[in-house]
Amino acid sequence: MTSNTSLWKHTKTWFHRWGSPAWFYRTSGLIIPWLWAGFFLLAVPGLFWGLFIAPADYLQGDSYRIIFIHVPSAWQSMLIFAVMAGFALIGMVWRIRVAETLAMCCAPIGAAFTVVTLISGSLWGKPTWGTFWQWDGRMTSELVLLFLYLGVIGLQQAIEEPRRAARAAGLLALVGVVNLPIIHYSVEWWTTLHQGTTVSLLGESSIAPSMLWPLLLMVGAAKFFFAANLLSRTRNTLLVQDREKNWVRETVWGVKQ
Amino acid sequence: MNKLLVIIGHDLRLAFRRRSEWFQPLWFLLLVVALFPLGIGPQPALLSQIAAGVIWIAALLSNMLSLESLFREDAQNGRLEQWLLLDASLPALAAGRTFAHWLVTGLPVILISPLLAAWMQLPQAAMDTLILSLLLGTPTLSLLGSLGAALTLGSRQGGMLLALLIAPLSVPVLVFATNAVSDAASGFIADTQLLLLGVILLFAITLIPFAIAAALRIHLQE
Amino acid sequence: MDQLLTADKVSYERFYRSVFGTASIHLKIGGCLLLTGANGAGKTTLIKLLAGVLRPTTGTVSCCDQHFVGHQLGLHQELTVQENLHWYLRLWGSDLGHREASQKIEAALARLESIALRSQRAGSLSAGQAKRAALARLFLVPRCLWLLDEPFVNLDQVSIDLLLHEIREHCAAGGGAVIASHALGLADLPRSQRLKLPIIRPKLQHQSVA
Repeated sequence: MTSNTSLWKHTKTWFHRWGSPAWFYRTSGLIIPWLWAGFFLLAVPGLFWGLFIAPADYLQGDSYRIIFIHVPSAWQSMLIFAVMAGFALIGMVWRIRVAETLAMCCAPIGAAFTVVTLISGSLWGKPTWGTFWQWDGRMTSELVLLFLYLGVIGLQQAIEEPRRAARAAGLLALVGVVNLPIIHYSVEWWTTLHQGTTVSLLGESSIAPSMLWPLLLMVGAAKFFFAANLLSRTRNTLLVQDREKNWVRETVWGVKQ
Repeated sequence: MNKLLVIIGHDLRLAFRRRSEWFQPLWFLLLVVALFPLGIGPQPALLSQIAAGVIWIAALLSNMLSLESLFREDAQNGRLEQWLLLDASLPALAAGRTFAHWLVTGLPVILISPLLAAWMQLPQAAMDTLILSLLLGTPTLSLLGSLGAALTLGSRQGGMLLALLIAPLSVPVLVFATNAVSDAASGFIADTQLLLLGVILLFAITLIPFAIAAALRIHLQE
Repeated sequence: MDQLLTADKVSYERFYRSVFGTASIHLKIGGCLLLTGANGAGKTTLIKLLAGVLRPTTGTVSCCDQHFVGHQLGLHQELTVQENLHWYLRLWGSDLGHREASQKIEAALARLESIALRSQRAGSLSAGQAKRAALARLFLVPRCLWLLDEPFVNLDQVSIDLLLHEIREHCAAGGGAVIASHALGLADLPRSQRLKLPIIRPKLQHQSVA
């Protein structure tokens, strides 16, 4: 019991600390370089391995190599939506401004990953399907995901008072995340009915280890890239939000009050 | 529960006074459906193939357009604040208002759907399924639209934004409903899709009123 | 409990800026609080916080059941005054029959001599008439605390006197009131306190770095 309560207390103080914009600004500033280091450590060997060392696919030739961009960004685009909804929930329940800001900073990054996924997917589709766009289940879900991201961003931009905007957009993200599995399922179901035998971009066949390892490296790199971007974005947004507050004067202008 | 009935009765009485409120969405629906044969040609085979999609997309659009002002008036005249001060009944009030709106704009759509089906050459066999799918699907769309209306209350460009937010969320309803109708049109049984529509509706009825209430609360925080 | 209203270190932020700093308020039975301050000092925000319409950024508010009449009067333009008030009556959980409800509404309107407004559409009322119709809510259902935002604006002298009389009676009977107003002096209301909100000036955006 006692250990339980002390754990709870620990979590609570930890939460409160991260909820303070000044503390967040300082600590994230220390973390960001490490995140970038992690990104380069994974991305450079991953890309080199994927583009130059891994063998060409016996069916698709070299064009398959776009998966080293396409798959990590596709995973990331969906993960970011969940992360965004998680932050929005924290912001809503405990009314923590940093969490609201983090959620809002997720949206443009997630939308960018979604766009990259769609573009790389259609570039890959050209040699594989013979067309830039096919209403394949994954691509269609990704397109709907993009519209959901744009909805969150659009709603946030349309409301004037920034905290109200962040809360409303966060609520939409939460509704979206509940809806996403249903959308995904319905779209999958719809494509199997309408097409039956599309060549899926990622076949059922198990992927060769020589392709799998660079892919995993790139997936990891995408996570670091996202985390570094999110923290930088949130830091900047917090600075703008609190431009009149003392901690910003102290940290940015070096003025003691 | 009592307050729910108060809201529904009040909104129905008000809607009865202003006929345009329920007539215009219906008019819009008829117009959109009529545009399709004009746009793509009157060949019955072509029309009957796209009938389900056209009717459903038209219903979706007219629903979203009519919902835009659902809370706007009360937000401006201050009654929304007074709603908020009634403790804990905000979700019920939101549900009541949405239901009243569905009775006024959703139900007429179902009543004229035989006419739309005739225009679009939908086979007679799919008629029951069309009506059933509208009956199960349009309340979900109304709830989603009502959520959109609450979310966009504080925004500058209400109507367009509402459609942008809500249309992606309506994808499952659209997929299952149109699929049910086209399955029925080609002589299959569409029970699965209708069942799924029913499940989605139950899900929506239990959850979305709370989301609407949360959105209204957010709006009132200036 | 002799506190009608307690607000503890309440503050509210809009556009990341505090609206009126922090305020603490204690209102005892029979007390009346007058909120004054220049335009933009945050009177409306504070009274909405006290009413529970807004949630404070920091601090807590606790109060007994209250009536709130704000700038937005809460009248539907297309309904008559009678219908508007009946709507409130029913939302507040009364299950009176039509006749009794009508009598109650008539009695409430009579307090500010506005029975004549009863069957007029709210949209056709003048600003002062609309205010009187909205204020009739105070008498529809008795509640211990009245929160009134600029209640005297647009009212004629007769109505102002009537309303002042009602506020005095209400406080004498063990209720309380918080009134945001420019037009009122302390002399108008017995046992009233005053809270003057200062204007919070935004700090300079950039301070020159020495």
